[in-house]
Amino acid sequence: MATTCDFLIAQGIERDCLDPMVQGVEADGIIINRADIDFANVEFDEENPNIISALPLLSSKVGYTVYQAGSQPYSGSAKTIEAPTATLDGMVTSAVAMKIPNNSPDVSANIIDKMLGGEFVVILKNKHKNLRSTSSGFSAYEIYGFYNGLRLSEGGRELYSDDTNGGWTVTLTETKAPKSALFLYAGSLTATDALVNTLLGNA
Amino acid sequence: MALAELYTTLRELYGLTAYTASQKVAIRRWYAEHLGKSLPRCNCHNKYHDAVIELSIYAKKRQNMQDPKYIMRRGVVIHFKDEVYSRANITDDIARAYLAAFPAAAKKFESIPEVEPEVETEVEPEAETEVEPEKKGKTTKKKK
Repeated sequence: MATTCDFLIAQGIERDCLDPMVQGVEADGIIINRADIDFANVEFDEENPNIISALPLLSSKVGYTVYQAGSQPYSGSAKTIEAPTATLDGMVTSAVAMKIPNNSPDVSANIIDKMLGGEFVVILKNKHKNLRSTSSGFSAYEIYGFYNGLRLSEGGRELYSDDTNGGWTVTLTETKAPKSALFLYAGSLTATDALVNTLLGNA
Repeated sequence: MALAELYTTLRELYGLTAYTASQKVAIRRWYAEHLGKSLPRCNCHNKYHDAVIELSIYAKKRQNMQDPKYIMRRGVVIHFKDEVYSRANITDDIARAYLAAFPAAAKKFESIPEVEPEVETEVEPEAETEVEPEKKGKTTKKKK
């Protein structure tokens, strides 16, 4: 167990001409109840501690699809960094905002009410996937809420909202995460796609 | 319930025009268990009948593949012989070969059939440890 953390930058800060940065995420994502993750068997990449190569769920548990229509899905989602203090290292806060374009007894019982007290992990697909990198596509899937869980930080339902047509909006936030980002990558983008497919209960 | 049995039951249900409350509960449960989703809560007239058809197709397809004995966990894939396998496409033969090569990877599986007990040959425990000290090439430490 390493007790002294290494805070030494190990790469130049420059743009990647082959894989230029692209803003935003794809419309479809995944939400998982954090309690359904089998943390004991989560596997990290041997070389990069910010890559998770296996995110197993407990038996009979599945993740759920999130689909956000529109040109800027998950608009309002962001990461912010808390500066280090005299006694603590810096921390990262991640917010995932989503619209729930629906309102029904099922939506209330199965989604909104559960969000009132639950902890979640969300996986979003970055548009910037790093396809030209040696590890092609290793930026594609980013995990939010792995360390402390995403909890409801803001939400509501505006009956005459043009954004939701009267549906719900929620923002799930994870605070004080020790890492800036965690990616899901199983060795190739195809393998990661297959992995994600199993999370959704499609297999 | 094994898939073959489920398929037979579903074929019987397919022939009925209405379902009892207990049959509806069973259909809901199978739908969630096998297809991983809830039956729509609409008042659609054919909801249960449609679910029976959907489940029958699923069961028939899966039945032909036989009930897999090795089931991988969700959220995990394995790379083996230049192929990627998940619970969606792994076969029992591949799983068996993979686990023979990587026994520690058993944690990637949700279900592994119990191995039939091999015929044990009785080995006297003393025979292994009773080696005269001067004849030993190297000493073996007993695990505490």
